Amino acid sequence: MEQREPIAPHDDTDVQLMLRFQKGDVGAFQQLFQKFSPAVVNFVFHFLGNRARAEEIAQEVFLQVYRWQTKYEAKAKFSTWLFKIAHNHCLNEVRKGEYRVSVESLGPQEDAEGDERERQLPDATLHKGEDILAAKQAARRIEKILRRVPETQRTALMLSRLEGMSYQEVAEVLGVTEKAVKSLVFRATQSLKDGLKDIVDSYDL
Amino acid sequence: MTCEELRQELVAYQDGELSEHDRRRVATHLSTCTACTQEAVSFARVGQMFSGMERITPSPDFAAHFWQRLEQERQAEPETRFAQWWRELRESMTNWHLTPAFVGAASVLIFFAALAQRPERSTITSVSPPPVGKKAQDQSRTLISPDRTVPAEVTEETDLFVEYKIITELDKFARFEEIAAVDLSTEQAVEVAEGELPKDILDNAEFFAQYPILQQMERLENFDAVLAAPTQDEEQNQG
Repeated sequence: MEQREPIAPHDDTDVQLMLRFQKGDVGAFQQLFQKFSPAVVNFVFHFLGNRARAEEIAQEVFLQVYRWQTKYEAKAKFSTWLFKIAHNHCLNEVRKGEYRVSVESLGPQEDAEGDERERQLPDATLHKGEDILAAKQAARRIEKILRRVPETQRTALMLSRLEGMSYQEVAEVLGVTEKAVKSLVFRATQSLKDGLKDIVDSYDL
Repeated sequence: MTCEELRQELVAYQDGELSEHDRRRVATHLSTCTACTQEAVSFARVGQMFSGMERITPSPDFAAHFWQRLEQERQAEPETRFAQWWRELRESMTNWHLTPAFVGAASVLIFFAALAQRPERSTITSVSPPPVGKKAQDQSRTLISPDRTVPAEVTEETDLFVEYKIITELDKFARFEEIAAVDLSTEQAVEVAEGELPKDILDNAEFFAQYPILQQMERLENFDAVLAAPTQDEEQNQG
Protein backbone atom coordinates (compact mmCIF):
# COMPACT_ATOMS: atom_id res chain seq x y z
CA MET A 1 0.00 0.00 0.00
CA GLU A 2 1.06 3.54 -0.53
CA GLN A 3 2.89 4.91 2.46
CA ARG A 4 1.35 8.23 3.27
CA GLU A 5 2.59 10.71 5.80
CA PRO A 6 0.65 9.99 8.99
CA ILE A 7 -1.56 12.81 10.11
CA ALA A 8 -0.66 14.28 13.47
CA PRO A 9 -4.01 14.38 15.29
CA HIS A 10 -3.27 17.72 16.89
CA ASP A 11 -2.85 19.28 13.43
CA ASP A 12 -6.47 18.41 12.68
CA THR A 13 -8.61 21.48 13.32
CA ASP A 14 -11.54 19.24 14.18
CA VAL A 15 -9.46 17.57 16.88
CA GLN A 16 -8.73 21.04 18.23
CA LEU A 17 -12.47 21.74 18.35
CA MET A 18 -13.12 18.49 20.20
CA LEU A 19 -10.37 19.25 22.70
CA ARG A 20 -11.89 22.69 23.25
CA PHE A 21 -15.26 21.02 23.80
CA GLN A 22 -13.66 18.73 26.38
CA LYS A 23 -12.63 21.85 28.26
CA GLY A 24 -16.20 23.07 28.31
CA ASP A 25 -16.50 25.08 25.10
CA VAL A 26 -19.96 24.07 23.88
CA GLY A 27 -19.56 26.40 20.90
CA ALA A 28 -16.83 24.08 19.63
CA PHE A 29 -19.28 21.18 19.77
CA GLN A 30 -21.81 23.27 17.84
CA GLN A 31 -19.22 23.86 15.14
CA LEU A 32 -18.49 20.14 14.90
CA PHE A 33 -22.20 19.37 14.68
CA GLN A 34 -22.70 21.97 11.97
CA LYS A 35 -19.75 20.74 9.96
CA PHE A 36 -20.27 16.98 10.19
CA SER A 37 -23.99 16.36 10.69
CA PRO A 38 -24.86 16.51 6.96
CA ALA A 39 -22.14 13.95 6.19
CA VAL A 40 -23.29 11.67 9.01
CA VAL A 41 -26.93 11.87 7.88
CA ASN A 42 -25.83 11.08 4.34
CA PHE A 43 -23.68 8.16 5.48
CA VAL A 44 -26.42 6.63 7.62
CA PHE A 45 -28.99 7.15 4.87
CA HIS A 46 -26.92 5.33 2.26
CA PHE A 47 -26.12 2.60 4.78
CA LEU A 48 -29.73 1.97 5.80
CA GLY A 49 -31.79 3.40 2.96
CA ASN A 50 -34.26 5.01 5.34
CA ARG A 51 -34.19 8.77 5.55
CA ALA A 52 -36.31 9.33 8.66
CA ARG A 53 -34.34 6.75 10.62
CA ALA A 54 -31.08 8.13 9.23
CA GLU A 55 -31.78 11.50 10.84
CA GLU A 56 -32.70 9.93 14.17
CA ILE A 57 -29.57 7.80 14.21
CA ALA A 58 -27.37 10.73 13.17
CA GLN A 59 -28.75 12.63 16.15
CA GLU A 60 -27.97 9.69 18.41
CA VAL A 61 -24.42 9.68 17.06
CA PHE A 62 -23.94 13.31 18.09
CA LEU A 63 -25.62 12.72 21.45
CA GLN A 64 -23.03 9.98 21.95
CA VAL A 65 -20.24 12.39 21.03
CA TYR A 66 -21.63 14.80 23.60
CA ARG A 67 -21.84 12.13 26.31
CA TRP A 68 -18.42 10.72 25.47
CA GLN A 69 -16.60 14.03 25.48
CA THR A 70 -14.46 12.95 28.41
CA LYS A 71 -13.59 9.63 26.76
CA TYR A 72 -12.29 11.18 23.55
CA GLU A 73 -8.56 10.90 22.99
CA ALA A 74 -6.79 12.78 20.22
CA LYS A 75 -5.19 9.70 18.70
CA ALA A 76 -6.54 10.14 15.18
CA LYS A 77 -8.56 12.52 13.08
CA PHE A 78 -11.87 13.49 14.66
CA SER A 79 -13.77 12.33 11.58
CA THR A 80 -12.53 8.74 11.91
CA TRP A 81 -13.71 8.63 15.53
CA LEU A 82 -17.06 10.12 14.54
CA PHE A 83 -17.67 7.70 11.67
CA LYS A 84 -16.63 4.79 13.84
CA ILE A 85 -19.49 5.71 16.17
CA ALA A 86 -21.82 6.16 13.19
CA HIS A 87 -20.79 2.80 11.70
CA ASN A 88 -21.44 1.05 15.02
CA HIS A 89 -24.86 2.66 15.33
CA CYS A 90 -25.69 1.49 11.81
CA LEU A 91 -24.59 -2.05 12.62
CA ASN A 92 -26.77 -2.09 15.71
CA GLU A 93 -29.67 -0.83 13.66
CA VAL A 94 -29.42 -3.48 10.94
CA ARG A 95 -29.00 -6.20 13.54
CA LYS A 96 -32.51 -5.47 14.71
CA GLY A 97 -33.50 -7.44 11.63
CA GLU A 98 -36.01 -5.03 10.13
CA TYR A 99 -33.70 -4.02 7.31
CA ARG A 100 -32.93 -7.57 6.23
CA VAL A 101 -36.61 -8.17 5.54
CA SER A 102 -37.10 -4.92 3.69
CA VAL A 103 -34.08 -5.45 1.47
CA GLU A 104 -35.05 -9.00 0.61
CA SER A 105 -38.49 -7.86 -0.42
CA LEU A 106 -37.16 -5.17 -2.71
CA GLY A 107 -38.16 -6.08 -6.20
CA PRO A 108 -38.21 -3.85 -9.26
CA GLN A 109 -41.77 -2.72 -8.60
CA GLU A 110 -41.62 -2.69 -4.82
CA ASP A 111 -39.28 0.16 -4.09
CA ALA A 112 -41.83 2.57 -2.70
CA GLU A 113 -39.24 5.11 -1.67
CA GLY A 114 -37.80 5.04 -5.15
CA ASP A 115 -41.21 5.48 -6.72
CA GLU A 116 -41.77 8.48 -4.50
CA ARG A 117 -38.47 9.98 -5.64
CA GLU A 118 -39.49 9.40 -9.23
CA ARG A 119 -42.73 11.30 -8.73
CA GLN A 120 -40.68 14.21 -7.46
CA LEU A 121 -38.51 14.32 -10.55
CA PRO A 122 -38.45 17.59 -12.43
CA ASP A 123 -40.23 17.72 -15.76
CA ALA A 124 -38.09 15.41 -17.82
CA THR A 125 -38.88 17.08 -21.10
CA LEU A 126 -37.45 20.34 -19.79
CA HIS A 127 -34.23 18.91 -18.37
CA LYS A 128 -32.75 16.45 -20.81
CA GLY A 129 -35.30 14.08 -19.38
CA GLU A 130 -33.87 10.79 -20.55
CA ASP A 131 -30.47 11.45 -19.02
CA ILE A 132 -31.94 12.55 -15.73
CA LEU A 133 -34.27 9.60 -15.62
CA ALA A 134 -31.46 7.19 -16.45
CA ALA A 135 -29.28 8.70 -13.74
CA LYS A 136 -32.05 8.42 -11.19
CA GLN A 137 -32.75 4.83 -12.13
CA ALA A 138 -29.06 4.00 -11.91
CA ALA A 139 -28.90 5.63 -8.48
CA ARG A 140 -31.83 3.51 -7.29
CA ARG A 141 -30.13 0.37 -8.52
CA ILE A 142 -26.90 1.37 -6.82
CA GLU A 143 -28.81 1.84 -3.56
CA LYS A 144 -30.29 -1.63 -3.87
CA ILE A 145 -26.98 -3.28 -4.66
CA LEU A 146 -25.29 -1.33 -1.89
CA ARG A 147 -27.63 -2.68 0.74
CA ARG A 148 -27.00 -6.22 -0.43
CA VAL A 149 -23.21 -6.10 -0.07
CA PRO A 150 -21.76 -7.00 3.36
CA GLU A 151 -21.81 -4.14 5.83
CA THR A 152 -18.06 -3.63 6.11
CA GLN A 153 -17.72 -3.53 2.32
CA ARG A 154 -20.54 -0.99 2.21
CA THR A 155 -18.95 1.25 4.81
CA ALA A 156 -15.50 0.97 3.22
CA LEU A 157 -16.87 1.98 -0.17
CA MET A 158 -19.01 4.83 1.17
CA LEU A 159 -16.29 6.35 3.30
CA SER A 160 -13.77 6.07 0.50
CA ARG A 161 -15.99 7.34 -2.31
CA LEU A 162 -18.55 9.59 -0.67
CA GLU A 163 -16.48 11.01 2.21
CA GLY A 164 -13.17 10.98 0.39
CA MET A 165 -11.33 9.14 3.14
CA SER A 166 -8.02 7.46 2.41
CA TYR A 167 -7.76 3.68 2.88
CA GLN A 168 -5.72 4.40 6.00
CA GLU A 169 -8.55 6.46 7.49
CA VAL A 170 -11.16 3.87 6.52
CA ALA A 171 -8.98 1.23 8.18
CA GLU A 172 -9.04 3.26 11.41
CA VAL A 173 -12.82 3.52 11.29
CA LEU A 174 -13.30 -0.21 10.72
CA GLY A 175 -10.43 -1.36 12.91
CA VAL A 176 -8.87 -3.37 10.08
CA THR A 177 -5.69 -3.15 8.02
CA GLU A 178 -5.27 -0.99 4.93
CA LYS A 179 -4.82 -4.16 2.94
CA ALA A 180 -8.21 -5.35 4.15
CA VAL A 181 -9.76 -2.02 3.14
CA LYS A 182 -8.27 -2.38 -0.32
CA SER A 183 -9.96 -5.76 -0.63
CA LEU A 184 -13.27 -4.51 0.81
CA VAL A 185 -13.44 -1.57 -1.59
CA PHE A 186 -12.52 -3.78 -4.52
CA ARG A 187 -15.16 -6.39 -3.74
CA ALA A 188 -17.86 -3.77 -3.21
CA THR A 189 -16.96 -2.08 -6.50
CA GLN A 190 -16.95 -5.45 -8.24
CA SER A 191 -20.47 -6.13 -6.91
CA LEU A 192 -21.61 -2.78 -8.25
CA LYS A 193 -19.98 -3.46 -11.59
CA ASP A 194 -21.69 -6.83 -11.86
CA GLY A 195 -25.06 -5.41 -10.84
CA LEU A 196 -24.82 -2.49 -13.27
CA LYS A 197 -23.33 -4.50 -16.12
CA ASP A 198 -25.99 -3.51 -18.66
CA ILE A 199 -25.48 0.19 -17.96
CA VAL A 200 -21.70 -0.02 -17.84
CA ASP A 201 -21.62 -1.97 -21.12
CA SER A 202 -23.98 0.47 -22.82
CA TYR A 203 -21.41 3.27 -22.68
CA ASP A 204 -19.50 3.79 -25.87
CA LEU A 205 -15.88 2.92 -25.57
CA MET B 1 1.54 -9.99 -12.99
CA THR B 2 -1.35 -11.90 -14.52
CA CYS B 3 -4.49 -10.20 -15.74
CA GLU B 4 -6.45 -11.68 -12.83
CA GLU B 5 -3.95 -10.35 -10.28
CA LEU B 6 -3.90 -6.97 -11.97
CA ARG B 7 -7.67 -6.59 -11.95
CA GLN B 8 -7.71 -6.83 -8.18
CA GLU B 9 -5.38 -3.84 -8.08
CA LEU B 10 -7.37 -1.66 -10.47
CA VAL B 11 -9.69 -0.01 -7.96
CA ALA B 12 -6.84 0.86 -5.59
CA TYR B 13 -4.87 2.07 -8.63
CA GLN B 14 -7.67 4.42 -9.61
CA ASP B 15 -8.02 5.54 -5.99
CA GLY B 16 -4.33 6.47 -5.88
CA GLU B 17 -3.76 3.98 -3.09
CA LEU B 18 -0.96 1.89 -4.60
CA SER B 19 2.71 2.28 -3.87
CA GLU B 20 4.78 3.88 -6.63
CA HIS B 21 6.22 0.47 -7.50
CA ASP B 22 2.81 -1.19 -7.84
CA ARG B 23 1.38 1.81 -9.65
CA ARG B 24 4.06 1.50 -12.33
CA ARG B 25 3.48 -2.22 -12.71
CA VAL B 26 -0.24 -1.67 -13.27
CA ALA B 27 0.36 1.21 -15.68
CA THR B 28 2.82 -0.87 -17.70
CA HIS B 29 0.40 -3.78 -17.89
CA LEU B 30 -2.47 -1.54 -18.95
CA SER B 31 -0.38 -0.05 -21.74
CA THR B 32 -0.15 -3.46 -23.39
CA CYS B 33 -3.38 -5.26 -22.41
CA THR B 34 -6.63 -4.21 -24.07
CA ALA B 35 -8.83 -6.49 -21.97
CA CYS B 36 -7.55 -5.08 -18.68
CA THR B 37 -7.82 -1.54 -20.02
CA GLN B 38 -11.47 -2.19 -20.79
CA GLU B 39 -11.93 -3.56 -17.28
CA ALA B 40 -10.30 -0.43 -15.89
CA VAL B 41 -12.72 1.73 -17.87
CA SER B 42 -15.65 -0.25 -16.46
CA PHE B 43 -14.40 0.22 -12.89
CA ALA B 44 -13.92 3.92 -13.53
CA ARG B 45 -17.51 4.24 -14.78
CA VAL B 46 -18.87 2.45 -11.75
CA GLY B 47 -16.77 4.70 -9.53
CA GLN B 48 -18.11 7.78 -11.29
CA MET B 49 -21.71 6.61 -11.00
CA PHE B 50 -21.29 5.86 -7.32
CA SER B 51 -19.47 9.08 -6.47
CA GLY B 52 -22.13 10.99 -8.38
CA MET B 53 -24.94 9.66 -6.21
CA GLU B 54 -27.15 12.26 -4.68
CA ARG B 55 -26.03 13.53 -1.29
CA ILE B 56 -29.08 13.96 0.84
CA THR B 57 -29.23 16.96 3.09
CA PRO B 58 -30.81 16.93 6.55
CA SER B 59 -34.38 18.14 6.75
CA PRO B 60 -34.87 21.79 7.82
CA ASP B 61 -35.80 20.92 11.40
CA PHE B 62 -33.01 18.38 11.85
CA ALA B 63 -30.65 20.66 13.78
CA ALA B 64 -33.41 22.20 15.88
CA HIS B 65 -34.68 18.75 16.78
CA PHE B 66 -31.18 17.65 17.79
CA TRP B 67 -30.58 20.62 20.11
CA GLN B 68 -34.02 20.04 21.59
CA ARG B 69 -33.14 16.40 22.31
CA LEU B 70 -29.83 17.43 23.82
CA GLU B 71 -31.46 20.05 26.00
CA GLN B 72 -34.07 17.57 27.17
CA GLU B 73 -31.35 15.15 28.10
CA ARG B 74 -29.41 17.82 29.97
CA GLN B 75 -32.48 19.02 31.85
CA ALA B 76 -33.69 15.56 32.70
CA GLU B 77 -33.54 14.64 36.34
CA PRO B 78 -29.99 13.82 37.35
CA GLU B 79 -29.25 10.18 36.80
CA THR B 80 -28.69 8.00 39.75
CA ARG B 81 -25.12 6.88 39.89
CA PHE B 82 -26.21 3.36 39.00
CA ALA B 83 -28.12 4.62 35.98
CA GLN B 84 -25.12 6.63 34.83
CA TRP B 85 -22.82 3.65 35.26
CA TRP B 86 -25.25 1.35 33.46
CA ARG B 87 -25.73 3.80 30.56
CA GLU B 88 -22.01 4.23 30.10
CA LEU B 89 -21.55 0.50 30.26
CA ARG B 90 -24.19 -0.02 27.56
CA GLU B 91 -22.57 2.66 25.43
CA SER B 92 -19.18 1.06 25.75
CA MET B 93 -20.77 -2.21 24.70
CA THR B 94 -22.20 -0.55 21.64
CA ASN B 95 -18.61 0.08 20.73
CA TRP B 96 -17.94 -3.63 21.07
CA HIS B 97 -20.89 -4.46 18.81
CA LEU B 98 -22.56 -6.32 21.64
CA THR B 99 -26.23 -6.93 21.16
CA PRO B 100 -29.18 -6.03 23.35
CA ALA B 101 -29.69 -9.72 24.04
CA PHE B 102 -26.29 -9.91 25.69
CA VAL B 103 -26.78 -6.69 27.59
CA GLY B 104 -30.07 -8.04 28.86
CA ALA B 105 -28.51 -11.31 29.94
CA ALA B 106 -25.66 -9.48 31.64
CA SER B 107 -28.05 -7.20 33.49
CA VAL B 108 -29.80 -10.23 34.93
CA LEU B 109 -26.44 -11.61 36.03
CA ILE B 110 -25.48 -8.37 37.70
CA PHE B 111 -28.81 -8.07 39.40
CA PHE B 112 -28.66 -11.51 40.94
CA ALA B 113 -24.99 -11.17 41.73
CA ALA B 114 -25.71 -7.94 43.55
CA LEU B 115 -28.42 -9.60 45.58
CA ALA B 116 -26.26 -12.60 46.36
CA GLN B 117 -23.24 -10.60 47.38
CA ARG B 118 -25.09 -7.97 49.39
CA PRO B 119 -27.89 -9.78 51.21
CA GLU B 120 -28.33 -6.85 53.56
CA ARG B 121 -29.52 -4.77 50.63
CA SER B 122 -32.48 -5.74 48.55
CA THR B 123 -32.77 -3.27 45.68
CA ILE B 124 -30.81 -2.82 42.50
CA THR B 125 -29.91 0.71 43.51
CA SER B 126 -27.81 -0.79 46.25
CA VAL B 127 -25.17 -1.75 43.71
CA SER B 128 -22.24 0.53 44.34
CA PRO B 129 -20.82 1.37 40.93
CA PRO B 130 -17.19 2.15 40.44
CA PRO B 131 -16.25 5.73 39.63
CA VAL B 132 -16.74 6.57 35.99
CA GLY B 133 -15.74 9.13 33.39
CA LYS B 134 -13.41 11.96 34.22
CA LYS B 135 -13.81 11.39 37.91
CA ALA B 136 -12.63 7.83 37.48
CA GLN B 137 -9.65 8.98 35.50
CA ASP B 138 -8.74 11.54 38.12
CA GLN B 139 -9.11 9.01 40.88
CA SER B 140 -7.16 6.36 39.08
CA ARG B 141 -4.30 8.76 38.55
CA THR B 142 -4.16 9.55 42.22
CA LEU B 143 -5.02 6.17 43.67
CA ILE B 144 -3.32 3.68 41.39
CA SER B 145 0.23 2.92 42.33
CA PRO B 146 0.94 0.12 39.91
CA ASP B 147 3.49 -2.45 40.76
CA ARG B 148 6.12 -2.97 38.10
CA THR B 149 4.49 -6.02 36.60
CA VAL B 150 1.38 -4.15 35.60
CA PRO B 151 1.58 -2.72 32.07
CA ALA B 152 0.64 0.84 31.27
CA GLU B 153 -2.39 -0.30 29.32
CA VAL B 154 -3.94 -1.43 32.58
CA THR B 155 -3.44 1.82 34.43
CA GLU B 156 -4.47 3.86 31.42
CA GLU B 157 -7.60 1.84 30.64
CA THR B 158 -9.70 3.39 33.36
CA ASP B 159 -12.86 2.45 31.47
CA LEU B 160 -12.13 -1.11 32.41
CA PHE B 161 -12.90 -0.25 35.98
CA VAL B 162 -16.39 0.50 34.78
CA GLU B 163 -16.58 -2.77 32.91
CA TYR B 164 -14.94 -4.77 35.64
CA LYS B 165 -18.04 -5.92 37.38
CA ILE B 166 -19.90 -7.11 34.35
CA ILE B 167 -16.94 -8.88 32.85
CA THR B 168 -16.06 -10.66 36.03
CA GLU B 169 -19.63 -11.86 36.27
CA LEU B 170 -18.76 -14.07 33.33
CA ASP B 171 -16.57 -16.04 35.72
CA LYS B 172 -19.77 -17.56 36.87
CA PHE B 173 -20.20 -19.41 33.60
CA ALA B 174 -18.97 -22.93 34.10
CA ARG B 175 -15.80 -23.57 32.08
CA PHE B 176 -15.22 -19.84 31.56
CA GLU B 177 -11.46 -20.16 31.87
CA GLU B 178 -11.44 -22.93 29.31
CA ILE B 179 -13.53 -20.86 26.92
CA ALA B 180 -11.53 -17.69 27.46
CA ALA B 181 -8.32 -19.57 26.71
CA VAL B 182 -9.25 -20.60 23.18
CA ASP B 183 -9.35 -18.60 20.00
CA LEU B 184 -13.03 -17.83 19.64
CA SER B 185 -12.78 -17.45 15.90
CA THR B 186 -12.07 -21.17 15.48
CA GLU B 187 -14.39 -24.12 15.20
CA GLN B 188 -12.69 -25.54 18.28
CA ALA B 189 -13.99 -22.60 20.27
CA VAL B 190 -17.51 -23.19 19.09
CA GLU B 191 -17.26 -26.80 20.19
CA VAL B 192 -15.87 -25.81 23.58
CA ALA B 193 -18.32 -23.05 24.24
CA GLU B 194 -21.42 -24.38 22.52
CA GLY B 195 -24.29 -24.72 24.88
CA GLU B 196 -22.41 -22.77 27.51
CA LEU B 197 -22.41 -19.20 26.29
CA PRO B 198 -25.02 -17.31 24.29
CA LYS B 199 -24.13 -16.93 20.63
CA ASP B 200 -24.07 -13.15 21.11
CA ILE B 201 -21.05 -13.51 23.34
CA LEU B 202 -19.35 -16.02 21.07
CA ASP B 203 -19.65 -13.52 18.24
CA ASN B 204 -17.70 -10.93 20.23
CA ALA B 205 -14.30 -12.42 20.80
CA GLU B 206 -12.81 -9.07 21.74
CA PHE B 207 -14.86 -9.22 24.91
CA PHE B 208 -12.71 -12.09 26.12
CA ALA B 209 -9.58 -10.23 25.12
CA GLN B 210 -10.30 -7.86 28.00
CA TYR B 211 -10.19 -10.64 30.52
CA PRO B 212 -6.41 -11.03 30.92
CA ILE B 213 -6.13 -7.28 31.42
CA LEU B 214 -8.77 -7.43 34.10
CA GLN B 215 -6.88 -10.18 35.82
CA GLN B 216 -3.83 -7.93 35.89
CA MET B 217 -5.91 -5.06 37.21
CA GLU B 218 -6.80 -7.20 40.17
CA ARG B 219 -3.12 -7.41 41.01
CA LEU B 220 -2.87 -3.68 41.60
CA GLU B 221 -1.99 -3.13 45.22
CA ASN B 222 -4.90 -0.84 45.88
CA PHE B 223 -7.35 -2.15 43.30
CA ASP B 224 -10.13 -2.51 45.84
CA ALA B 225 -9.56 1.04 46.99
CA VAL B 226 -9.86 2.37 43.44
CA LEU B 227 -12.94 0.32 42.73
CA ALA B 228 -14.60 1.37 45.95
CA ALA B 229 -13.39 4.96 45.94
CA PRO B 230 -16.26 7.32 46.71
CA THR B 231 -17.37 9.68 43.99
CA GLN B 232 -17.33 13.41 44.39
CA ASP B 233 -21.01 13.35 45.37
CA GLU B 234 -20.37 10.85 48.08
CA GLU B 235 -17.46 12.85 49.38
CA GLN B 236 -19.67 15.92 49.55
CA ASN B 237 -22.43 14.00 51.32
CA GLN B 238 -19.97 12.63 53.79
CA GLY B 239 -18.55 16.08 54.32
